[in-house]
Amino acid sequence: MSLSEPADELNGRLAKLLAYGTWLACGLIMIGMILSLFGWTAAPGKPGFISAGILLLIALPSIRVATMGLWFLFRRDFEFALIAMAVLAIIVIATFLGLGAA
Amino acid sequence: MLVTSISTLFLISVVTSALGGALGMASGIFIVPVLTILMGMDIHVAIGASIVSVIACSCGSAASFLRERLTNVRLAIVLEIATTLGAASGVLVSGWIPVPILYAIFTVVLLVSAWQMLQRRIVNVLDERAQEGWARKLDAVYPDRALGRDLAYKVDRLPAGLGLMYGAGLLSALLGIGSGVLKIPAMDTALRLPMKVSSATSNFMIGVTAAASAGAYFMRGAIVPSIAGPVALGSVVGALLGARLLVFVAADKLRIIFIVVLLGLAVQMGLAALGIHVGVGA
Repeated sequence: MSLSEPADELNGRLAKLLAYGTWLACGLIMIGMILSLFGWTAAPGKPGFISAGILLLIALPSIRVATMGLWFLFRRDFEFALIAMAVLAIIVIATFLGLGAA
Repeated sequence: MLVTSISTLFLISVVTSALGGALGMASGIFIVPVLTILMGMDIHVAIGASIVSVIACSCGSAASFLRERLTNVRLAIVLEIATTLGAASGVLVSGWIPVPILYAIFTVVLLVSAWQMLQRRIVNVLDERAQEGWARKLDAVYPDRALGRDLAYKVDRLPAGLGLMYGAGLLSALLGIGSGVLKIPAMDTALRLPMKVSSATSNFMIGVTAAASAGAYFMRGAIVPSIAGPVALGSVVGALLGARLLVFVAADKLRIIFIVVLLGLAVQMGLAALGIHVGVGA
């Protein structure tokens, strides 16, 4: 049994997630930009396509870390699952630090 | 007015990113100087737009590196503890750092990047004598094109690598850049990784590092969708074009153009730090 096989599976999954996620986010931004060319923008304070695309981009790396964490957890690789969880926790804390230091 | 600025931002971002992508460098380092000096934008808004485009470029290009098995995902997640902690610290101090100091730090980063461009990357000889320890869990194999087979490599001096990664995260959050300036030396010199593994793993980590501060800047309202959106989309398109451009332009010629642009921007940002704006839109 080769050690690299399960790791390749993880690489493949992450590749798919990041590629589809980026295309979806870019698609949303593009729709929003095209709509704005025709003067059709989201009302102030309401989320539009561009905002949705940006939010997806900001969330995508966290979804990637969560995917890694779950993958390690299911393979009983608790050490790395814990590390992934810690990274996720730091991202969440950093996000809320933005409110505090505003 | 808004319509023109959206297409202008998009086009500027495409050109900027194509230049960066052609040399395998993240475009983040150009976006902030271009938005502040050329477009006369507030530096915090420029940093917010840049950090989103850094995420987009990292995620968009990660897939091919992952499929080629060049990315060491275990090493990445360990180093990401340091980069995200650095980014969190950057978010904390960014509100307190005066704008002229931000311009000054950016100037230094541009100068160091220009200097790095002049140097050749270190080509590491695979070291078989790395000590026993926890870091051995991060060792992996990568496909070597020249040899046509898989090569095993070891991760060396993890604590030094983690320290430099903390600095890289801090810089990334402060300036809205991917901070390859610190990541590449950390991976080449401290961890002694093969060059392609180092580039792929660094690129993979940039998205997570940037996301840590992007979330905070979004909450703070520093990410303006009508600016960050076109810039992010433009940088993804530009990065795709840049990779093609590489085939048509000699790498050495491009390197010189790149160094000249970096030095030019460094002068402008340096002047901005001193309160002198010579840019068009200032």
